[in-house]
Amino acid sequence: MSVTTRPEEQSPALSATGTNTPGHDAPKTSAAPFSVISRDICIEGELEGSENLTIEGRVKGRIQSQGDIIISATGNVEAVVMARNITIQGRVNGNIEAREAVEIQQQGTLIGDCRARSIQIREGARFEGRSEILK
Amino acid sequence: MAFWSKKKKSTTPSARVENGEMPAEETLIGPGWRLKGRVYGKGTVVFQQAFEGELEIQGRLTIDPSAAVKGMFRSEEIHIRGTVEGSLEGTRMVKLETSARVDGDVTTPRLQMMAGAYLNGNLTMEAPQASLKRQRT
Repeated sequence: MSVTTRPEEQSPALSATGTNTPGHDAPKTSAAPFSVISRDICIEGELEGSENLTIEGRVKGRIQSQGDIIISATGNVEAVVMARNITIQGRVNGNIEAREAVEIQQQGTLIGDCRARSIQIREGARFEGRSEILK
Repeated sequence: MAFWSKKKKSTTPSARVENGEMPAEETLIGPGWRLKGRVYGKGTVVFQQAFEGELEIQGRLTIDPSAAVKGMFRSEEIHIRGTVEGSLEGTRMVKLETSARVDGDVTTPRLQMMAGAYLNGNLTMEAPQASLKRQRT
């Protein structure tokens, strides 16, 4: 079996979770390839990378990326998350920091502090924590 | 329910994933990522870069040629194309492809080793039932 990194348009975070339906905006992400943590997988530890990542499963610990991170509707993250852009469709419990934008989409939950150059919280989203706009 | 039974079944995997009929079950840790810690659950896991720690999954583990991993790995099927330092336990099978380099012990009921693959360690061939029984405990 030959496995290649999935291009963004095939990311299951957009297709499998139903967030790509009319009325929902697609997350702001770059066209770089996505790595994926699928919904039945749990990771405890440290993830460090330069690429984009879609989280459909569970992650506990610390995530640091030069790219974009999407926590999809089935995703459950208990971690400190640092990335370029962070899009939350699922649940995040921990402090997050984006060099560019954070977007908490409808049904998304963030319990923790949020630092970013822009923060967008959609109707129906939940956010409990402090926010800080980076200059 | 009758409503659901009348629903037309999709044929392609991507369409089935979109309709929620089939879970998207492949975890791919691409070439730009390093992971240190513990991975568990079920599905297919593919490493294309670096991993250090412990992995236990119900499903298949693939280590691609670009990957170098270190630790303990337990899965139903293990396909190695890259570099491994540590122990491998495939409760159904272990396949070492031409580019595989393994420094460590391998336990499995079925081993497939391609010409050019490198294995430096103990090999324990275990009856399939014993492997499955150990996986359940």
